[in-house]
Amino acid sequence: MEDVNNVLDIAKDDNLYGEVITLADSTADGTFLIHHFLSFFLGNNRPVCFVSLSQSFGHHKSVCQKLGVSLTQKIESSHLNFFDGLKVFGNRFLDTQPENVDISNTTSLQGFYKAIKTNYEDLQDKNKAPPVVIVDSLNVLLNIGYQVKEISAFVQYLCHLISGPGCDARGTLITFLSIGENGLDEETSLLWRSVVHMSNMDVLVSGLESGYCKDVHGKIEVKRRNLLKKNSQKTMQFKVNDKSVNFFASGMSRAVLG
Amino acid sequence: MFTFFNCSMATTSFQKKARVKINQIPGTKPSLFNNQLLISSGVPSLDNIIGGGLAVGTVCLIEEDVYGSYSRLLLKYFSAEAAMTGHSLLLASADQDPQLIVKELPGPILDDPGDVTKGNTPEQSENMKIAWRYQHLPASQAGHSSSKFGHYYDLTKVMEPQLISSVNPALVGIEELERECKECKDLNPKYKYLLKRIKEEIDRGHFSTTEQTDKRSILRIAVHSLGSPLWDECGGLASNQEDLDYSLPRFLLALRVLMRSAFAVCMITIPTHLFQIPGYVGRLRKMCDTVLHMDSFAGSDKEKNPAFKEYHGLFNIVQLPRLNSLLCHMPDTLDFAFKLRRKKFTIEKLHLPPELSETANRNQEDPLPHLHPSTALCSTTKPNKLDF
Repeated sequence: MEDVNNVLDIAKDDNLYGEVITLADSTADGTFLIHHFLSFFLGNNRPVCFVSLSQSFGHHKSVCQKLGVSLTQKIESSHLNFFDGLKVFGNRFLDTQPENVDISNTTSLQGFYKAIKTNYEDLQDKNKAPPVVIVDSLNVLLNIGYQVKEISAFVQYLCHLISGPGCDARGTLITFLSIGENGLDEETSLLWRSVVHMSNMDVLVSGLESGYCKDVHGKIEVKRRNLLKKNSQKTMQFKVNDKSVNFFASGMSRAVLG
Repeated sequence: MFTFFNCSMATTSFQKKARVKINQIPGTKPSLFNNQLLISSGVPSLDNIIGGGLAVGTVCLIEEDVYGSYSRLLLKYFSAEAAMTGHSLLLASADQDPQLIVKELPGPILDDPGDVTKGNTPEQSENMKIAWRYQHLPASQAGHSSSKFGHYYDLTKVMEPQLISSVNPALVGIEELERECKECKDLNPKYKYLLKRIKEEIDRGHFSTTEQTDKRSILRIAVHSLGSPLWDECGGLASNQEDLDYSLPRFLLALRVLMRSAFAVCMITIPTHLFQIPGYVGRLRKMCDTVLHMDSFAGSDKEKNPAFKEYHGLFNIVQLPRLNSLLCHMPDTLDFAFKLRRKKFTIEKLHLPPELSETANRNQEDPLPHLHPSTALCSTTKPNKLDF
């Protein structure tokens, strides 16, 4: 979605090699950002290793179809690797004999990391461009019992995974986290801050301070870290539509201006 | 307006539901704005505010009012709707005997009171001139031959036992839970058993989306007061009173996996006022799809507040699911109120009465002081700068 790219200061053919981006939402729904990045990278023919922990494949497929990307086609052409984390972790609590014991071990995320690493390297072999890893969403891991330290280490391992030898060989890492109402859930806030510390760009989608509004769904704050430029922070308001998102400066919504 | 597609093997219940012939599943309708298959919650006014109904394949969480009576009422409506549409029902409750709950389901309000005697008596055909084209069609009846979406119920009547038994509900009560639950280190044993029962019911009734069957129906799963102390839940705390007990989020994750691949809808009520760990309820909300919050006035000083004279409690939409689209249903407002008359239970936008009596003490404070629910849509707990 072009508008999202403009807000994030990403050009249409930007590679984002070696970038670590943290997406978060607090009181509004920010998952449109995940679909934006999915369609953006797949549209640019970058291979994507998508780890989905909170929604089923069908949901992602439908949304991406609206944005013009066919996920099944990308899987067939080895551009996309879809890891159904929801099923893997959920099934552990359903079956008496879980299949992927390594991956869904309660205390350690090592098995999970190894599975992602295999997928990443597999994509790397099959494609020229370095892959992108998108994780949606980290707070599912926190909710089912993994410790903040463990998840934070997991993200650090992923950061290491995407950094290759040359500038052109570095992948991209995008993680999504739902932090709930700001400050209320300490552990989630702690996890968010530690993941943001490892990232280049931090995007936070939150609701309006004055409450719910049908026409202005929330505000988005983009912070670029490790930059010495003056404008490293941007805040705008947005409204989500069926196939796109409209952004506008605070208070400039068409509904408000009339 | 709706075109018909051929039925195809769906791997998850989130395949565009338009693939199934729309009139094949009674009691369902496609959502007007994203083609998601919806069922009625049993309360038509609730269906209207959440975007048409509950989406098939999702979990609806109702945060209970303090005494639990109104949330139990919502569950009863949800279960009664199963009888009216021919859907199957699984009802679980640890606090009350599910047999009792089922016996107390409200009776449906029939469309035409004169329909109990079938056939056109000569009187009727004189008094009511019905278009000749429709004269030979049977008058509408109660029961699952009715394909209407959403029914009204009369709380002064009880549903007929034959109608209830036609549904053949699966009931899970406290004795079964205590007897059958097995030791488990990942998860509270009772939750694990409930998951097992739900899975069994889905398999037995062929509700899984991977199975091809001729007569598709929907499984309604109603869980009453999950997370109450009778489920061995200690407000989210583990037995050592210090660590968190992750059983409930784990249960909800596994439940989501089950729901996403079944033609089923799950409605759970949780007494969230018992969970005092900050942020814990927020986590539970994220693990469910639709989240609604009820707050009854009974026993609080709001009962005497003249602004709330007509209503019995407040009703808030905390979260609506985003399914198969970028956008979730965005209602005009998230704050509603509900009222319970003899026959009808309605949820509507909170209308303040036009005139408060002159002698009434006009409270300077906001009548909704603590009610800033954290929503996945938008709001925060910061004081409203627009308050004068």
